[in-house]
Amino acid sequence: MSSLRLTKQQHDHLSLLQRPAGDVVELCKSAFDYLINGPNPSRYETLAKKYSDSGSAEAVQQAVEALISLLISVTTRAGGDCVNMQAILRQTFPDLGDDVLEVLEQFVTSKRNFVEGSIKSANIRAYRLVNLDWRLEVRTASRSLLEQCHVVVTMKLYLHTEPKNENRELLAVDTSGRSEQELKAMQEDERLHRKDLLVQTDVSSLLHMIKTLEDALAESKTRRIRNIVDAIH
Amino acid sequence: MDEVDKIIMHQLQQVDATIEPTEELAEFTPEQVVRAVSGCLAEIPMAQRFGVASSLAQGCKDSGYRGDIGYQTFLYPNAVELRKLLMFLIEQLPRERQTTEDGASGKMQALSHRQLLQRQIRKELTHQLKTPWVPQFARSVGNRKSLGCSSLGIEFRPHINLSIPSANPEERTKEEQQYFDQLAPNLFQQTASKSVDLIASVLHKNELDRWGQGLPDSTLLFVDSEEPEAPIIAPTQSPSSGEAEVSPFQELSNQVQELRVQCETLLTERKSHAAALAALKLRETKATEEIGRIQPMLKLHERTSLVLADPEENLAKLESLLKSTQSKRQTLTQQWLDYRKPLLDTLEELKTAKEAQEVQGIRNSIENLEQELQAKTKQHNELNATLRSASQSLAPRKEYTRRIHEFIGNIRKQRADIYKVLDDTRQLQKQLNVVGAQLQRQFNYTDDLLFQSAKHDLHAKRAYKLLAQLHANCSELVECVSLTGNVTKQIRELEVQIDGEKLKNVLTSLQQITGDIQKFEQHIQELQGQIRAAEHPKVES
Amino acid sequence: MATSPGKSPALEAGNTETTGLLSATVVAGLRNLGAIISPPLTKLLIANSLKLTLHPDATIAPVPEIYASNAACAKQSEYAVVTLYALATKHGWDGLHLRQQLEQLGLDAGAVDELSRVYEDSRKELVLRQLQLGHSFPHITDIQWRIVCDVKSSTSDCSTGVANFHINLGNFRPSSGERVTIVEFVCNAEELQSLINRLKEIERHCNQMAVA
Repeated sequence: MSSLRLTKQQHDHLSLLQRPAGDVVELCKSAFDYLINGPNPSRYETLAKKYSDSGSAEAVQQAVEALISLLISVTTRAGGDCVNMQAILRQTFPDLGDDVLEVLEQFVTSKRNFVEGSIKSANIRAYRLVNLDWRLEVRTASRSLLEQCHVVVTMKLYLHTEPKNENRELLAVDTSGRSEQELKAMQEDERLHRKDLLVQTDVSSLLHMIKTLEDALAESKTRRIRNIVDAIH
Repeated sequence: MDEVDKIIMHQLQQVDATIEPTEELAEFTPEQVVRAVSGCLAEIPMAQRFGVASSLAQGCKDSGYRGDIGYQTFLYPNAVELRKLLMFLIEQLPRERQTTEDGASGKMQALSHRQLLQRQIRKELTHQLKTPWVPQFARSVGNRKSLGCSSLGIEFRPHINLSIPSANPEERTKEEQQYFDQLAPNLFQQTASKSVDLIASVLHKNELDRWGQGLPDSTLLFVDSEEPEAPIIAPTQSPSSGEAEVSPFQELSNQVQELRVQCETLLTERKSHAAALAALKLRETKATEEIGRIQPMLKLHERTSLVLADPEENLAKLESLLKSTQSKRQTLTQQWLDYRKPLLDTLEELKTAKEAQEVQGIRNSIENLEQELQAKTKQHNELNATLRSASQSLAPRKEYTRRIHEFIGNIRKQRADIYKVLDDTRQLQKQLNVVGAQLQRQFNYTDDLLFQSAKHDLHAKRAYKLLAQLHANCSELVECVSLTGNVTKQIRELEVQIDGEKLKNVLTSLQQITGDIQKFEQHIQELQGQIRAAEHPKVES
Repeated sequence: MATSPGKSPALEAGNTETTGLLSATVVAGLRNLGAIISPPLTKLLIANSLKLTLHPDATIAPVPEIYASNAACAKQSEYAVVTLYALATKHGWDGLHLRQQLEQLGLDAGAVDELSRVYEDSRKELVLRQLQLGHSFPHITDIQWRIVCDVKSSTSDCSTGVANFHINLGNFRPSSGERVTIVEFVCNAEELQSLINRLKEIERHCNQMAVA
């Protein structure tokens, strides 16, 4: 596991990390805030005054932005592996103290879900099936045929373009431990990325669908497919 | 038997009231039999599953009937078989029947309607669950038998403005009739578009035609000038709908009718005006043409009159003008001639030069062609010579091949002869062997015979001795013959050899050799002479 | 319809069920058959109308002789035949019923024979044709899937290491046979399993309905 390749400029911006762990925590908190609310110059002003020896509000803001950039590149590289993440951080910043590294690691881990979701949803969006409602219907008469018995299965498909992690949260909405803003953002998200669709099918086709899907599932569990997936991983 | 029949009748009555009871089963008609059996089958849940519609006989078999059953059981009922069958079927009837029977008949029917639907749904579901999946594009064929869905959804989208000739041809105007006879698209052309459906359209129009007079305004919204049915029907209907309430619809339709008439008169007026306009336009174009023709003439006339206004002065002016023009023209001609002459000269020169060049070119080409001709004739002669020689050398070759063919033919003939001779020889050999064997047997037999008799008879003893002698002599003779044959063969071989030797020119070579030997001898003698001569002086010395 | 059937003109003309259902135009068109339109042409016209009714998408060669003379009557009769069959099918008449109704209208006997014969012969097709008519949601008849595993993407350097299923539900356009996608979505193995469970729930329910 190699270190992250940071530019000279990024390294310069991250020079504030040389400060004690407490200050780094403060910076990380500012970065969280940046992610949700955008830049907050007055806060950086106060922070800059606190670190009176080095730098202005501008430097603080640059540090915060560099932290976010770091967060994104670590998440992209590590892809969900905690051990990897530690190793990467250690290799990237060999000159930092253990306590600061720990703070950084916590920062990266705690926000990984958020960043991962954003990264993936920025990629090609495909609809995922979130839920399915159904109803068995019999049409007994229509304008062109007064007596009939037409059995149809009507289904409503709830589709969503969000990546699976967030999706699962949507399925069982866990509102505890979320700020109001986060919830609001989620609702907005839902409105933008949802698609509900009404379709129908006949029973014979339904059986065929079940069979085909079971085949697909069985196929995915074969050794061949597993080997391929493992090889890719 | 009568009591059994009575029980059967009673039960059948309960199953289906329409079955008229008869005294005995023997009196049942084929229709009654079918009705009774199908009624019973309809009541048996197991048979239901296979469907009463399927063959009745098959149904009975399926429900567990073991007796002899087939078409004939229903078409040509036999009292004994029928009794057996119906008893069996009645035994299978469910017990609950009796209890439901007691309920009010009206309730039963209401219930049965719902039950019928449920049953139908159940049937449809079972069917769909059981039938194998059919790809969509094969469904219209695959599911036809079961009236199954082809899973096509066609939206009910009628063409709201179908143009079909109305019921009464007398009410159509001449133009309408003509339109319908010639131009009007037929029903299918009108509904050919993907956005409308034929069935939906005709159902819609039929309903509109039936109920349309009640809401003429809504129809008028869609009706175009070619479809005046609704307004035509409306006035005939208005009295029947009661005078008391003259509906605003009708008022409006009357108004529309008036407006329509107005519109028509206006249209005819417009037509006549348009015709007048066209005529006027034609006249206008003619007039402009005339004007175009006259105007140049007019100009000429104007000028002449201008000139004629002051004749003398103008004449003088014109004359002076004429003169000046003439002198000008002369100078111009002079100039032209001056200019032209050198050009003509050069032209002449160029022409001659060109001709000369051409002549030269032609001459050159003639020479070339002559040379070529000569070369060609030469080549021709050469080729002729080679051809002649070739044909000469060719002749002996033909001769040779002919001879070779002859030889081959001869050889073939000879080969055939040889084969024939060989065959003959073989035949002869065979015959010889056969005769030899026969002789041997004959001899053995005679030998035995004579030996037997020789023990008793003296003559026979002598005869036996003679026979032995004869045999010995004969074998000697045969041996001699074969020996002679062998010798002849050898002689022949030797002759052949001799011939061969002869062919080798032994005589000449012998002569040569003798000649050579003589030469050698002479030479030797000479040499000996020399040696002696050489030795002699030595000895002398 | 607010208007009572008593006010219909057709009902006043003849007080039977048929005339109640058929408009005057239809009746007039039927009366042309075997009369103004000759019997062989009648046969041809009925057959042609039926063909065009049953196969709206097929290309059927036009029959110009129908319109050779009396084109207006032929057009009216075509409409009448199509409407008659549509109504008979809609109301679920059998061949006998149709014949009775037609006989009440006093049509030409040959035309009645031909009309009822053709109706009986193709009743099933007519029912199937009209069964399709009406509102429906997009009907799924075909399902396609593929298993997909990402290797690398523009936003993430490493694979998620999980195979996903792309599932495509659709049907085929009846006229051209072209496949139409109704919906396409992605799910992982768990989600697919839950989808299958949900669909099996429907199947179970159908089974219960069928047996109960």
